[in-house]
Amino acid sequence: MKKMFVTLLSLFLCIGLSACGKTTQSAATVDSLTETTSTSTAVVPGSTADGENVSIQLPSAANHKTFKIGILETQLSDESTIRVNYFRDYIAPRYNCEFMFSEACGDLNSVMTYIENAADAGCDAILCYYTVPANTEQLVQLCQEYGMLFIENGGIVPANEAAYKGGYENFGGGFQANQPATGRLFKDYLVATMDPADEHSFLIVSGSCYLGNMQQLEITTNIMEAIAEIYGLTYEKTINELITSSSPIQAVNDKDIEIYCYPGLPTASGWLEGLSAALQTGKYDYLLIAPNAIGNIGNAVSEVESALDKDITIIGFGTFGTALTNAFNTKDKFGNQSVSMSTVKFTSLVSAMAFSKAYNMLTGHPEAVLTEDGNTNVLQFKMESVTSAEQLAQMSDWDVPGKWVADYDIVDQMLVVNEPGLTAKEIQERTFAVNYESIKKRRSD
Amino acid sequence: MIRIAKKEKQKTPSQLGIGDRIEIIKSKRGFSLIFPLSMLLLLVTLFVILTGGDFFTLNVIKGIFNQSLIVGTMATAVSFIYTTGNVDISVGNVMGLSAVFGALSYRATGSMVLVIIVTLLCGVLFMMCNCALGIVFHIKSAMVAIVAMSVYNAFTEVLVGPDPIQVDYRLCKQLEGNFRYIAFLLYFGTCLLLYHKTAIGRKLRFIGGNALCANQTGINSAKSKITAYLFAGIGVGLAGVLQLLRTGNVAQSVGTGMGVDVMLATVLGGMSIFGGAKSNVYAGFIGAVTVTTLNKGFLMVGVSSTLIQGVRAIIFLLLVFMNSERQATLPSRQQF
Amino acid sequence: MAHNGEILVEVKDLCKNFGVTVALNQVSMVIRRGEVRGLIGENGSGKSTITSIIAGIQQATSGEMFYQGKAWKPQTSLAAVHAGIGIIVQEMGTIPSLTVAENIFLGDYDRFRVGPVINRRKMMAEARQALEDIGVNDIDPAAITGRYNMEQRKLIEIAKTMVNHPEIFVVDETTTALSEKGREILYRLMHKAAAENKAVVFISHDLDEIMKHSDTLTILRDGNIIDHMVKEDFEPGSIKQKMIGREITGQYYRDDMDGYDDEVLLRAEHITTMRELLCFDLELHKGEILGIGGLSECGMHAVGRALYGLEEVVSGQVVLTQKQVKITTPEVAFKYGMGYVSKNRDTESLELNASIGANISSTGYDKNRGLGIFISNRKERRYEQLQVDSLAIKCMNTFQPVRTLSGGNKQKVVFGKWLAADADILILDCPTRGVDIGVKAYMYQLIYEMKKQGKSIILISEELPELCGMSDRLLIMRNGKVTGEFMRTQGFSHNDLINYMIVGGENQ
Repeated sequence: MKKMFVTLLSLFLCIGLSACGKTTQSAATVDSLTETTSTSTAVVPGSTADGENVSIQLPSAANHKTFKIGILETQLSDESTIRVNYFRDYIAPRYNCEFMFSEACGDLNSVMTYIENAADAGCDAILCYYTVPANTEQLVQLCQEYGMLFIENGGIVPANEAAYKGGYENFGGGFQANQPATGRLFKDYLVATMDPADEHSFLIVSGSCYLGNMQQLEITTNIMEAIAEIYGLTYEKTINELITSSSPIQAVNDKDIEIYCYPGLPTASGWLEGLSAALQTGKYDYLLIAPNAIGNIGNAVSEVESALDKDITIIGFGTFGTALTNAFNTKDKFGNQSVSMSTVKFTSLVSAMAFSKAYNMLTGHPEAVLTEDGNTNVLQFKMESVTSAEQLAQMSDWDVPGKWVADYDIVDQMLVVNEPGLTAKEIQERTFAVNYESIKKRRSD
Repeated sequence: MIRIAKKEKQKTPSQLGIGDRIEIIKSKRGFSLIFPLSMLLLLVTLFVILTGGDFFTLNVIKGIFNQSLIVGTMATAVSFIYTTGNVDISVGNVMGLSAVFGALSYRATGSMVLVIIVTLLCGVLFMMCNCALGIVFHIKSAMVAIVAMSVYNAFTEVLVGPDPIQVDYRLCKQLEGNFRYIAFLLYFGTCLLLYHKTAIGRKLRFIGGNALCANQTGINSAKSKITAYLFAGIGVGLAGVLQLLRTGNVAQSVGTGMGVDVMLATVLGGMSIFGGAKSNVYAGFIGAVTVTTLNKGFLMVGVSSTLIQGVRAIIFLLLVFMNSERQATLPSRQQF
Repeated sequence: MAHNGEILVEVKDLCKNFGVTVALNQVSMVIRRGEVRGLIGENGSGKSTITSIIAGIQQATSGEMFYQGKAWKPQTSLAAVHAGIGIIVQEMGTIPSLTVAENIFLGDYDRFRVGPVINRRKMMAEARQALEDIGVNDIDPAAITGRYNMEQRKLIEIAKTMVNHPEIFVVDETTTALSEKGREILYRLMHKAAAENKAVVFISHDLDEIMKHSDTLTILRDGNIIDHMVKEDFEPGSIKQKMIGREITGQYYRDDMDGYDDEVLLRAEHITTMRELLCFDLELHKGEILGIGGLSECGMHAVGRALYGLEEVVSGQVVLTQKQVKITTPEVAFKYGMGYVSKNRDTESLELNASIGANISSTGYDKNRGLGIFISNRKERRYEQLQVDSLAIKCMNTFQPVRTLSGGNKQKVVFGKWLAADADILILDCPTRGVDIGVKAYMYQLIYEMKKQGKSIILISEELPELCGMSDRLLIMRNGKVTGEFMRTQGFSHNDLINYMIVGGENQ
């Protein structure tokens, strides 16, 4: 009896507290822990696409309430740390936004949980890095229920077409790398550097192609096409059949060139062992990697090189970070750099693209995320390739806190509030315009 | 014959150490319910203060309840098994595989009713498999569970493939609202009654506390184990249904890691996973709600994502330390 | 003379509390060299507590201790061992999974350490020597302790204590676990130590034994010292009275010659078990107290277990004749109105971490039903409280965990459990082991009451006086067979009984 009474009293205490404690402003209460907000009005010299210098009056932050944007990560990596720095320290103060970062959400249940929690925390938009196309529409609908925008890191595939064509007002579309272009980086490099007269044999790591990963499919297809072009060979099976095989397969061809496709997720158990075993046969001197796995296999490759006295050329998909830097800077026993070519991207640019979609919609310009047909669009960027340690060092230095590639200039150019009438097409052109040459030019200025 | 006068009760001395006082409070009945609830209430109050009242809205409370349903149901189910002193970490995979079969039956027939029935039956079936292996071959539940985990996981991967199996999301959303609550409350209520108000729970606790003594008191341990696994199976199957209804699909990874989540929820709710006399059936749900409250609260307060894991770990440790029953004697049961 | 020797251990105003329970209340005592000091008292009187504090097993709540003239406050039992204080505990003091030698030198392996390695051969040799020193030749130091029976394990414990040549050692209720041979060994060691100007503290429930072997006697009751006596003044009646605090009137055991019915309730027909019994027959009549006695390895405990379905019966069967039921498992036995009190109280008869109430009501799940399958809390509380009240179990309330009770009260809980179950046939295996006189007397009374109500009881015991005092019919066993059957009406002769136990027949 007494215990019931006590429990009830505590309950009422709770309710009472909440009734008294409610404020109208959702201002941050614990300063040291929450993201800071600040207001700023500034006159910034900006540049439009045709090069004229126009001074832009940034909208005063008092014009809109602080936008709260949730960032949903599937795994916590170097990239996510860069994103935190970029959004929280660079974007938030200037654009009067607040960012809320998630923990690793690996499955749909935890993604939904985060979205619900974000809604309770007062988020206005979600930038989602969890990309399972089959779930896109569902998540868009979930966000719609809570009155939040939804923008995802992905593109249009049959599985999520319904979401893009469904006319969802809260759906800001996708953002991703232009995959054909990424694939072509590999093709171009191979065609440029390989001599048909030399005999080579290829181990192609097809990664998640069998799972339908578009990016890796593009990359691997381009690799196979490049090899076919260089040697003028024809495969017995179609390229698609070969690269989407879920078990390792020989790409038998009429020129008898050794080409071995090795699928699998780098995180799966046994994957690395299988790959090492294939390398240790000593048959292959070209290792072409579609998934982001350069860091995982460095050791395996150098072991094979020293044991079998074989020089293996590595070409793969990569991201800026210590793994890649080490890979380029470590010389193998032949004095060559371990990795010959890697693709890279500028995280700040990708993040800025995502942010621009959200900001444009939140400031009342949904047209910035629509195609000409009125469907939701996908904003793309182009990856870059790196071929030498020096180039890598140079480029690594470009996208760091304080001197981001996607600086306020670039970001401002993607926002409709700065340029009324800005279309989605124009935004796309501007993101494509951010490339190695243009950045190099800007840095040297 | 000998006559012996009734002895007088011992007088309590005025000096009692702090440790002794805590012992006395802990052994009062009702402690295992009041304490975790109070801790939960304290957490809620804390978050209410920190968020300036935003935490105590109906949506938030509903949200917490919704999010803790799946783990809460599973923890309730598994408490039957924990009570007997057995540990089964394959429950997550059982739930996943049951959900897979449910989704497959939807693909075949399109009927949600069938989905629910199939999922429940599968839950019971797989848990009974675990039970049978343990009883028939006299293998410890923990060992059976480890093997079962891999087996069920393999089945799930093969059956699901790279793309998740979809169940009509819209239909799920419709069912979600009332059906979920009713189903859960029905199950929870039944478990409460059967565990605490009938001989079932008492027998299970006795087996968990001292299996030899239970045997000598006429309690058939095999029969009780079967009962425990049966109720657990229903609960796990129900959790599978709830999972399906919530997400509208099953992916390969469904249910992985939930065995540990359930253990955490149980321990946070104040129950020992080694079972015995102080076990109950509601600790798991309280623990699940506590976890969800913490997660939501952290986000709403705005704890930095880099700190969240650390802060949460500290609070878990604190709660476990205060909540759990540290027996004077080490568990004498061999688990492996 | 023993009581003029130099003071070896002195305790002053020692207090010890366990929660609300006062175990020792301002106890002061002096133990001199050259004496065997007996400590006697009921369960919960504090005798084990004093000695365990002196031996460093527990810490006192307040008070002072002096050892060899200096202040003494051991932090661990190992510290006490190294200082020359040894104790042979009441409970099992060896670890079954270790070897005998490892148990003898438990915690002290460093004395055989050579660099990082332990010299096992030396350890074995010294263990063998230690066993021989106490007169035991048939225990192998390299064998796993768990293989040996309780008595042998106790002997190993004795060797463990004596190997450190203690200045003073405590024998805490050890004799209950030992047979005649074991007790002889112990008495010899005790007197030898006294003769060598060392000291011994001897705790026992057996008044005859303690009177015979102690030089001085301290009587405790409820945590207080009642009296110190010297050997010349020993007198059983007054000692008992001081122990209990009141007069004991009447007989300790039964004083009647009531018979029993002819109706056979339980029959064991040619049962053979895996190890101990071969073609064993037994009949139990209604209203009979059937005693079964013998040396500890005669198989009588197996009989109890087989009758209750705990031991696998390989051939033959145990049958409840009236109900035509074959007893194969304890579940069946319980269902048909049988009960069993195991001799391993803590491991088999009680769930230590559960409350008193939960233990008692474990036999009453069916009886306490309210609506349908639901158990009525009210009925359950009544069921439990009835036993607690009628057995005068010393506790705060029925929610107190059983492990906090003293040995005698624990046994009362066990009894309460089976009394409440109202079993028709009750098998009691060493029911009064480790229980003090007051409770013992009460239990005998209960057993007799049950007989009068028409219940049948099988009393398996290693205490001959108890068997003689309580049984209607007494079976003596040896090596798995009944060697003699004796009737109460014809009188029991201790000598004859012992002959049948040891030799298997009439005096040769």
